[in-house]
Amino acid sequence: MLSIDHYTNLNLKYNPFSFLDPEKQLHATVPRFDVGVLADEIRNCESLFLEFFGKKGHGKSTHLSMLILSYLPNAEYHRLKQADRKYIKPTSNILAIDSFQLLSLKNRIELMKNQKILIYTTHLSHRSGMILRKDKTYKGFNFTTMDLELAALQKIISSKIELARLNREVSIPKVKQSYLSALYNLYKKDIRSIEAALYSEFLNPRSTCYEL
Amino acid sequence: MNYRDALSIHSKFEGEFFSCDEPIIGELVVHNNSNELVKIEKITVNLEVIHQGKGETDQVILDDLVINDYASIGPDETITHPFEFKPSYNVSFVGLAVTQNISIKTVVDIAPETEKLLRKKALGEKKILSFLGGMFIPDFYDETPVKVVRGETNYEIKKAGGTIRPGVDSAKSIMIYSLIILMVLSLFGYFLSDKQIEVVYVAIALFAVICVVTYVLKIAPSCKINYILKNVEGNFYEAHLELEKGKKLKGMSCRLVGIEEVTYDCGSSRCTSSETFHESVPTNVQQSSENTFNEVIALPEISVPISISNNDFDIIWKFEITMTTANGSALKGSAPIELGFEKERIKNPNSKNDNHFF
Repeated sequence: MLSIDHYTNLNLKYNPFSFLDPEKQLHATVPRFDVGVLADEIRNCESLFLEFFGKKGHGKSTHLSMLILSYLPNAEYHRLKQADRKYIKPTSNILAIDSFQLLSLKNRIELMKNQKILIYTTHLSHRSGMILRKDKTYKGFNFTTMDLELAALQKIISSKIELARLNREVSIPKVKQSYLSALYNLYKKDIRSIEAALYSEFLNPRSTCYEL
Repeated sequence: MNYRDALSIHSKFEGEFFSCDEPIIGELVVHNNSNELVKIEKITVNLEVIHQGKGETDQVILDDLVINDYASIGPDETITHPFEFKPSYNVSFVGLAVTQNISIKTVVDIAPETEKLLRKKALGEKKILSFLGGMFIPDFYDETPVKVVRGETNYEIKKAGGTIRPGVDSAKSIMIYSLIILMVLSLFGYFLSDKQIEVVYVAIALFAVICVVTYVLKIAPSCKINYILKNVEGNFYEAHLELEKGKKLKGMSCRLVGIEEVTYDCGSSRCTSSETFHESVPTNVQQSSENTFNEVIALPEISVPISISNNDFDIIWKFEITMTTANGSALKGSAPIELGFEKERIKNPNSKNDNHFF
């Protein structure tokens, strides 16, 4: 185990790349499209099938969280975990589900058929489910192919470090540009893997990946 | 001015460290950096244990305080309000998989008219992101970690008794892994060798040999050990171990092992990150009769976290026995125990029974 001063010596409250609760995560989210405009579209339609799909670690859950917590707070929002065995019934509200693929096939079919406004994240697109719906209004965001620029990644990383800051008057570590570029070239848009690598570096008090 | 910069909030404490059995005393400081009168609805202050790790975060509220004493805070004014929370009986811990912080979390809930005023100001200064930030997360928030250590508090084993069979768990692992490896190799061999069934027979024979060797080295020399761990005055516990009758050993030692674990979703599966953060020095246990062993052993002297289970976070303590068999081989086995802190026991003054504590 590390010294209890390990992070306070870096002027941090905790490892900046540990998992953040959704409210904190909002402060460190750099959206890759206009979430506000999307929210307006959702509010103005009667029926919509909206999915965020793509590989793990590419920002689907983060963007869904921002959309719901910031713009659609009255939506019914379920963040599913692998260990859950939930059955979610259709609702008259907007229904948002993180990790739609964790529901049973029967549940997914019922929701695709009967849920008026359905928003979810998933690994593989369920667009074929449109066949079950009367209204064919569909919108999909493919996070695997969506661009993530190095500048946006830098902003995410520095926001997370800033969130973990302990004392405003004292400086905080900054990840070296060369190291971040190397991670970006290695992992491309897989932000989760980049953050996992940074998590390990910040465990090391003698790491050369950051400077004060 | 950014919306978020309108108020500065932090907690100050008496002293740099707190012992886990000490109340946490400090004061909350809220400063208004803006030129506006900030109307306050309420201030909520919680003492929390916060667990953070890869892929998960969770918290437990230990104590809370709601402050309704302040209706507003003027421009450039500072509010200071003392607080005293009950002892945390948990310690700060920085592990490789899990961080356990004891923190003061403060939320200053401001009146809607002040929210609008501050947002308008941010918009007027063309701080659009700040305006939006104020719209969606209007309240002001701070989280200040407190350094909490063991101090002079003694650890205590809460629940410990059962049976351990050293060597059996590792024997099971050896047999399962060798079965899987041999199955895969035999399938490859079968198809690569033009479906020669002899390849499969060889794999089966190899597995049988591994089972026999494992049995001879691990299972046959092992035995059931019944154990009871009792707390002893001071930071000690007594281990009482009873062997199956007729078993002879060259020696036995035991120790405590602390493990930190976090389980999280990683894509479409669940992953567990697990690290051993503490291994006490093995202590030889003295034989007191034909099949019993007893020893008084020290509990951890350094500040380590106690057993805790907070959804996907676990601090697990294990009692591990190493027995040296008659033929000199060392077999290990362990069982989970619950390690806590000794809390001050308050005697009921009306109780006639001296042993009646609560």
